[in-house]
Amino acid sequence: MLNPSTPRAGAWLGLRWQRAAARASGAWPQLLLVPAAIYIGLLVERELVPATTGGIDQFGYQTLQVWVLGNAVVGWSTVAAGLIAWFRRPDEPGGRILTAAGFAWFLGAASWASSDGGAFQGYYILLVSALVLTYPSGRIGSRAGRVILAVIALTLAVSTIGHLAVQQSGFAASCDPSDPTCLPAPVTALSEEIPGANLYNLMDSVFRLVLGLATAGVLAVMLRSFGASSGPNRRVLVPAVAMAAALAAAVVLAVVRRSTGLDESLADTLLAAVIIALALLPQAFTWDLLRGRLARGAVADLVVRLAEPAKHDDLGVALRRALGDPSLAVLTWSPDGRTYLDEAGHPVELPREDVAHAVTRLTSDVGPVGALVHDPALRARPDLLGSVSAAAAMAIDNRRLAAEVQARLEDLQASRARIVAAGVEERQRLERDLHDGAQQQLVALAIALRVARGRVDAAAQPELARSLGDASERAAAAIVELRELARGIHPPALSEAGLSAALDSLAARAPIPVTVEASLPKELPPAVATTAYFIVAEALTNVSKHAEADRAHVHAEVVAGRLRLTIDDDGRGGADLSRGSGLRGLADRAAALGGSLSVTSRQGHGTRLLAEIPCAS
Amino acid sequence: MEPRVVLVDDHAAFRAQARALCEAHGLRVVGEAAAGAQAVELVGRLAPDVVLLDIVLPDIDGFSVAEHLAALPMAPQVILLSTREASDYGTRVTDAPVRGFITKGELSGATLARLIAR
Repeated sequence: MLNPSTPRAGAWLGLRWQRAAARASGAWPQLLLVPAAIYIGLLVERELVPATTGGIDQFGYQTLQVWVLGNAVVGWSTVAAGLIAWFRRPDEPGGRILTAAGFAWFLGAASWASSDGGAFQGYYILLVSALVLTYPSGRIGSRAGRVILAVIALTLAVSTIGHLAVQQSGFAASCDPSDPTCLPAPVTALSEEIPGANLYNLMDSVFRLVLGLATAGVLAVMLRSFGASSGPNRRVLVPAVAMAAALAAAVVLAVVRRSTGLDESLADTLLAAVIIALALLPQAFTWDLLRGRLARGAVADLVVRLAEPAKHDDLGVALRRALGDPSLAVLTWSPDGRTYLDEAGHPVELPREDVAHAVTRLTSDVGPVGALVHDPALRARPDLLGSVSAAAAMAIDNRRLAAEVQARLEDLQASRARIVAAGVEERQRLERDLHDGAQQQLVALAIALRVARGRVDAAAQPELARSLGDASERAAAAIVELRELARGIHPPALSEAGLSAALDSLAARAPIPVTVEASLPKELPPAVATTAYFIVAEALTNVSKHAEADRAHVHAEVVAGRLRLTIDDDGRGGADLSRGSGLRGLADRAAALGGSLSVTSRQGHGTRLLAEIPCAS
Repeated sequence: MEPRVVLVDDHAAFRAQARALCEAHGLRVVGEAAAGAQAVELVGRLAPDVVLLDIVLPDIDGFSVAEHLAALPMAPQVILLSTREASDYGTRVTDAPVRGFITKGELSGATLARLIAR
């Protein structure tokens, strides 16, 4: 993973070199494999040259020449490619497998040339099969692949044991190893005079057949996944498929040649072709691995960059850097306008493709999301372009989703505020109805009773006088109760005299001394004023109920378009917003208006309640 | 001579009871008005000693009416009435050019007598 905080291309490049150096410092054991490979290769060649002379009867001289020369080239090439890949991409198994395959190649050749008669041949086949089957994911994708690999491994193990066993019993007796002219028979059928020769020959043929089928199977598996993939993914598989094909060709060629006796010159040509392929393909393989790494590195960097929300607007910058194309332009699709927008948000036509401009459309599951207008040369890097396009499509889509969520959030916030405002309006109406209706009726009744009481002669009709007096008092009490009820629904002072006066009136009715310091504009939005009023009312109620305070202070002011309320007391502290349901509800109302409510209350240090509500005034 | 009173309130039932109350306590109600403008006109014409003036009126509120009345050549004593409390109007009651304020529920001969200077 690349560092997300790499600001400039230069620094980015520098970082890569730093990383390469860091990798190199931990790669010395790998580098020791270079002289090892050279030495082993030369050693094998030295063994091979005299050994092949023993095969002149069976193979043509030319064949052996190709074989001896090709042997070293294939081995070294494979080890070199493997080491480069290992060094540059230590996180992927490909490099290690390829290196091991190179050494296995030498081991097989040495084994063929030595007295064990080829007991350790074929492990190269196992490793190359593993390499192609695990490419590029590092895992074997199919069950068939796993089975084939297991079959190859098993065959090789049995072959090795079998070879060693046969040599222990009979082959060693065929000539005296102390005789310098006694050369071990190479991969040839043993003459039937030697004990155990029939078994050996049979076993050898079976193994070769199985290996031939297995490598053909590997090729089939690779072709199947090649056919099933498309675009950049398909292209990535090309070296692996070619490698599988060359391997299968090499093994099948050996089998066919042994059993049918192919035409010599044709066989030589095929052998040379296969050897050249086996020597070149590891290089192609490594080249692809490294190139894939570059592309993936750029895309990883891009994805990290796009994941940072603050950099969202830098999509074009990030894409230009990732693709190394300063002329690149990002167009986003606007579903509303049914048109493309450029980076400044102006509607534009999708440009026609020409020598300087290629267009790659970006789509998601909901349809078009945009397009990249870029240098046509990037078409040569379909994997990189594909990955970057996918990342860009994702980023644009995300941006659209984020905007949608934001819009929805704003809708929600607005509707919450409307609901609170409607609630305030409704309560105001209710208070007015009470005032104009029930309260007036009750007042008239109370006065009527008072007048009636005045007309009755208490001495003559004492009971009636007492009843009327009672009724009059009850009516007066009912008026007071109804007034308090109305005030709880909506304080009339708010509409009649404004928040400052309403706060004064609240303070005046509080059971402890409360000072109010308010510098407020005359007109506040009713929802804001009402919410503020009830916050102070609830706070003062809590102070007198729970705080054991001697006094409280209310401060209210409008700062930078926000109504700021503080209610302090000198009580015992320890209050908690989450415990009082009354304050919780008010915090919700404040939040609905885009404000906030917080409580600072340390045990023994009084309580401060702070509320902020945005007000448009 | 008994003080002459004009009643200003938009509720007829209240006016009727207030009239009865006033008359029971030696005040003579010479006129009634149900709205602010009408009250200003009536008071200008009748020149009463006392005006019992409701704050909540359908057209202009009691405070404005009080301002108008105070500007009259023979300005009456104005007593503001409301079902609400004086504190519900902040400082508006104390700032108004009026004799006093009575919460309607507490309107009685005694509260009136306390405010009306003879």
